[in-house]
Amino acid sequence: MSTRDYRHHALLYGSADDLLSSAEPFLRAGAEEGDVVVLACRDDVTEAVRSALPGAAVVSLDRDALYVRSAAAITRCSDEVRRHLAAGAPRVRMLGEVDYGRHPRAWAEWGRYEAVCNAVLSGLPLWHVCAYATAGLPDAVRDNIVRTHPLWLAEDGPVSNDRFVPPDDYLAEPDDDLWRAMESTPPASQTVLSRATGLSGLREHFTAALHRLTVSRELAEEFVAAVSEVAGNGLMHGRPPVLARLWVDAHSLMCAVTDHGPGIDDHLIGFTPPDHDARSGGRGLWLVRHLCDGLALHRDDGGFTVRLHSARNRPGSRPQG
Amino acid sequence: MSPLPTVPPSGPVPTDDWDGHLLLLHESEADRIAGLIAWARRGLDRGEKVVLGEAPVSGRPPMLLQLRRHGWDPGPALADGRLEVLPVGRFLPSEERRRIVEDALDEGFPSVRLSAESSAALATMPAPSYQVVERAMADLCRTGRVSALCQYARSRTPGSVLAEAIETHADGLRHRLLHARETGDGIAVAGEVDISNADVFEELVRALTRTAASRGDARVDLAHLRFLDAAAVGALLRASEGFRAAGGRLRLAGASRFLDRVLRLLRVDEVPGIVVTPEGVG
Repeated sequence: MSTRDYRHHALLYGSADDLLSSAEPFLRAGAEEGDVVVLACRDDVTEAVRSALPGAAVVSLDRDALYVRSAAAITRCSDEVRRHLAAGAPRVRMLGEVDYGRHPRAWAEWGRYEAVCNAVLSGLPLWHVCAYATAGLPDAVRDNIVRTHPLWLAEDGPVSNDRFVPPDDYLAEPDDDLWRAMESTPPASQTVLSRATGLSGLREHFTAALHRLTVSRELAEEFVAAVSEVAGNGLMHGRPPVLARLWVDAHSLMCAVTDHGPGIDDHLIGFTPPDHDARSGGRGLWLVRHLCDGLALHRDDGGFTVRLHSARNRPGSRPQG
Repeated sequence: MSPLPTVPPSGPVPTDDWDGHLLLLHESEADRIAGLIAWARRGLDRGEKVVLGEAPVSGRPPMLLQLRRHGWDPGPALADGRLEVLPVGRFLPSEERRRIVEDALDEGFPSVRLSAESSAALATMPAPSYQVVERAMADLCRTGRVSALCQYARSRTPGSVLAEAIETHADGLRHRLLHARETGDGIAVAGEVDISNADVFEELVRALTRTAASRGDARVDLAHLRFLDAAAVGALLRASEGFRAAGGRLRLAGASRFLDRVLRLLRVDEVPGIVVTPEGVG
């Protein structure tokens, strides 16, 4: 493996001391080679690393601001790495404590984040460590961690993980279980569209439904914009009629947008930022991924469905661009 | 099918929203009549003479019946001569038009408004000939005593015709989802832009960059725009590409908090030749 490759390690730890005993040698080796160390950790861990590496270039990112949405987190990592490379660093070593949320749907989305990192960050000289405390770690999250990191970071260095699943396979795994209960209840709102002129009405109906259910104005605005974008894709690139159904429960907003076209298979679409060329496409799903928490693709006899979802209550920060 | 309401105000409605030389771009008959009624009522409120040009379209009910079916009774205005319906052919020759206007002013009206079915007219003559009529109408509207509502059916208005029409109708475009009008240094848009009308938005911005080419600077006021998606941004970039490549600067001003976020997520603020200034600035 060339030293300019992306390396993605998982680190499971019991106590803070365990975390530092595995992470410190790794980060110190980097600092000695002139790598920039980037931390997205809790304050106590950040302080401990800074004390252990005096004189090293240590940058700390606000963890709450970073782990808001998966696409934004990946872009932030990528931008951060490019920034340091442009300033002359040979490599970035990053230690992050992923905030995987409090609900199975959030856990699943952060599992997908880890899988997408393997695809989208490859080629960047970033050695990336995702640290997870074992205390209170849900089994589902542990399972996701095991399947999305090619490497473990132990005290004496990286170890290959033979339970790693390639990202395309991981991302193609169905997650219908997460949505079955919600989808078996009547939708809060539902619209059938056959033409693009119906999108404005869709936005109006869904916004009204979300307001009735006391979803905050900001969250409603961004979620409805995401739904409009996906429904528009169904009309333009899929096959009408397009059915959009909205559900709201105490924890989440979810919308299933179904059309009769062949759909898409690319689970990585929308993770790459748009460029300035007027002709380039791909802006729509990039926007969608920044305006909602997650996106899943599903195909069955009923057609092709895109499920968008957002958590209603995000502890800590407001939605960030 | 009942029409969607025309763009509701998201802020104070400019009092000249239905005055001047306007392009009504309608998606359906229902759309057209709704716009026509709003425009006519505005004229009557101002004490103007309202002259509705009716095109002979087979299979379509008479205009007065269409207006009544849409919930507006033109009876009183007709009875006391404030409203008149004329065959649209009367508007095409310039002397006829002038006489209609002079007669109304002689009757004591402070101003006159005329409505014409441009798509119907375009079906009977070559586009360049009709453009001559539109330019003459634009001149008439510049006198300040005349407003005109020119009705173009979206489905029958190809891009080139729309582009020409947008340039001729300085006071703006009225569409179910999108209103636009010229400002001192560019255009102001209100309403929503999505895939259903991104092409119209593209023509608006393209027309703006043509008129702004020599100045090298063009401003799009987004303060009353409620929604804009990825397709709208693509349209904006395509329409301004040549202008910006030649050194022109496109300023996107006054976007709401959410629209500003969308623009920055799509990295529009990083595009060469584009400047994004938030609400209340620029």
